[in-house]
Amino acid sequence: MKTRTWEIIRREYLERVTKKSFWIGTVLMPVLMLAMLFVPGLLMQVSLDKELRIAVIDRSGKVFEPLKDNLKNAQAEASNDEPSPFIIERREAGADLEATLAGIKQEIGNKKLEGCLIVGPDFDAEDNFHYFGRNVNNLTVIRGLQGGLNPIVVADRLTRNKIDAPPEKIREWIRRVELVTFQVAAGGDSKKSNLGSSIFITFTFVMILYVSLLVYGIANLRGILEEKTTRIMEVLLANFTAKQIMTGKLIGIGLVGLTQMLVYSLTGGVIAAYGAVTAAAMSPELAEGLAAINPMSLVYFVIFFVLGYFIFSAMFLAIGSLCSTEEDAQNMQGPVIMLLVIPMVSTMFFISNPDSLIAVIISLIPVFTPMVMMMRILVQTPPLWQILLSIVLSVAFMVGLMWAVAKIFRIGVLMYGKRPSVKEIIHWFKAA
Amino acid sequence: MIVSVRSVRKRFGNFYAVDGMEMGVPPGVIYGLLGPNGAGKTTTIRMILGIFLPDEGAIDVFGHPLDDRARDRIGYLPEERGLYRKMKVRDLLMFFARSHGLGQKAAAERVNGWLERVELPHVARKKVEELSKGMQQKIQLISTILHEPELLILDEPFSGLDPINLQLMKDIFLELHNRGTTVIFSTHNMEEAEKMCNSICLINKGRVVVEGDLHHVKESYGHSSILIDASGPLEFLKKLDYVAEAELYENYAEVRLQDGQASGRLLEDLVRQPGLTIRKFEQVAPTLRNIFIERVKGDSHEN
Repeated sequence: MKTRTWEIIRREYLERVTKKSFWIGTVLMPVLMLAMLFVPGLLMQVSLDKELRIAVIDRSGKVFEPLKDNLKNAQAEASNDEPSPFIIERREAGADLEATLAGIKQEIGNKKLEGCLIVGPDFDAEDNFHYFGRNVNNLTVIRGLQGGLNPIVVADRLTRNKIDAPPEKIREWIRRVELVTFQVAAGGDSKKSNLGSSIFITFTFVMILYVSLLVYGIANLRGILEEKTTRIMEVLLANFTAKQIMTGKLIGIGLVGLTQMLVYSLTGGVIAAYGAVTAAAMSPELAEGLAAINPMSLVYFVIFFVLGYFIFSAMFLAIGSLCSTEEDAQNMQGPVIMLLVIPMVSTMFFISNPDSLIAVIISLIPVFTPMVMMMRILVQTPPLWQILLSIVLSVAFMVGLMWAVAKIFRIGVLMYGKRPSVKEIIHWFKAA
Repeated sequence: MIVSVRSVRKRFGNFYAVDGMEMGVPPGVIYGLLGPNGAGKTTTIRMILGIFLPDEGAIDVFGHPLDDRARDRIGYLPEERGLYRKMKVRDLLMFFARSHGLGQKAAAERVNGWLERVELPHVARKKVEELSKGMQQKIQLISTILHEPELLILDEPFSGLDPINLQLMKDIFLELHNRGTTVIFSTHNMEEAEKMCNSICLINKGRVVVEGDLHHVKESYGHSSILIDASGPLEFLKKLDYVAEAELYENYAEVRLQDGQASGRLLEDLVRQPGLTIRKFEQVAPTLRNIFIERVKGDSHEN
């Protein structure tokens, strides 16, 4: 029994690990993840370089000059040598504002202008500042203008309330409060931890967990499907019991996943040791976040990866054994993938409310435990009993699932053609 | 018995694919499992191999219920063949050899030896999918017998083979038989079975129709016909009480005796008959096809 299962494990493992595509994937994945981190930032900079020509109709008469200064200063403060992308030009409202605006809209339409800011006379009115733009989703423009206008309005309010101050002072006074955050662990230890960095680290771990559960789960499905469509399954079943095939496949592919993670952590470790300084310079949040990771989190990460792997791969295996074609499999795998996607897209909720009743309950539901409990652990270590309970429940669920999948697998792998109905599958449980 | 199947039934839905099967395969025979398509041949084979579990009854292989040790001693070639297409030929064969309990070194020797034998040593490092269909058939065949099984089970082994591989297949399988391997093979081609087997099991609708040694089956179940080439009065043949049927022609008669009657008696009566010149008296063995058709008809009459 042992040696036979071992032969399957060995084949599954070696066939995958000796493939070029495995190593390409192993190298590409971190590159892609880094790209996901840095490309948006780079793209933002690219868009900053562009010229943003904006017409300003200043009906208050108090805004144009200081706005011009503020925009220039903002660029200087962002420690950027490049000139401000904003080029603002004054336009008069004229006798008929609507007519003037119509002309300006023509220019915006022809891309001669990026947009037009219309400042009303009353700073305290709700809708005093209007912006007509080619793209109102361009945060560089919107944030830039808001940042430029804010101090002007505040200064005006102060002046009207008999407080006179130079613009630099006002900018200093209205600077936003930055909270320096410390993460307190269950034992009472605390570490300086930046809000951004802990979100960032949590996202990274959840992403890795999500991608690997999906990739290796589907590898199981495709493996079985291949064995069915090439008809090698019958030869295998004469040599091995269904249980040996199933166990061997699960463990073999799981080891491939662990190998990949090992490669990641080794390269990650080397990069961290070798270029910690560079990393810190490139992304201080990354460096800070890495320093804030609790070593215990890594242990939990491995535990939840293994649990999640067996739970999801067993489900994918069952699907693979029930299908005879790619199309069938694609239709049937949807619901299982949803079980992974739901916690993935709710990451923000669990990060913000790790202790809420709903988070606690969901993290104890075995199919969600691996991802949701992992998020909770990364954000704010939950009580130990909850972690242990979630592990116990998951293991119990896994054992039951394996038992059921083994039955489905045994009968399903030799079925071709029409997909069996739920009724038929229930019948198998009674029969087998 | 190498394989014994006792009162086995297997149901799919409401349909019994195998319905009270009794089979015994003695050591060293070439055992033909014969029957029309849908008779239950593949289902029976799959139950012997433990791929399906019987709903009722029991099956022993090498004297015990099937276990991993027994699996190591069996080689199986299913009707629907397939290999891992992305694997290299050598890795694939090594996988099969090792999974039958061969050590690394023994496995490598066998793999090399067999690749030489089928003149394919140059494809060892190629992927299966790069091979021609004929080459793949050879690789499949090797993968079945690498571990020198004591029991070889072949499901419709000759279907879909090209003539060269067909000959190779027959050669290898007779060679193994001569070395003492027991062979079970299924086919719906009765003529083929008559040439190859020394023991047969005819099945229909999941039940055994006739089982046993080929010659014995032919003698006891078949109604052999007697061809008489003679000139003279032959009408008396129809009146003999032990003759079941006689067809008369000008210089020729075909006679079928009743069950259990020896042909010698007919010859004696012929010799005693006056005015008859006998040129030829020949007993023609029944074909399996005839036996099958007769027995199956008989079955449906009884029902």
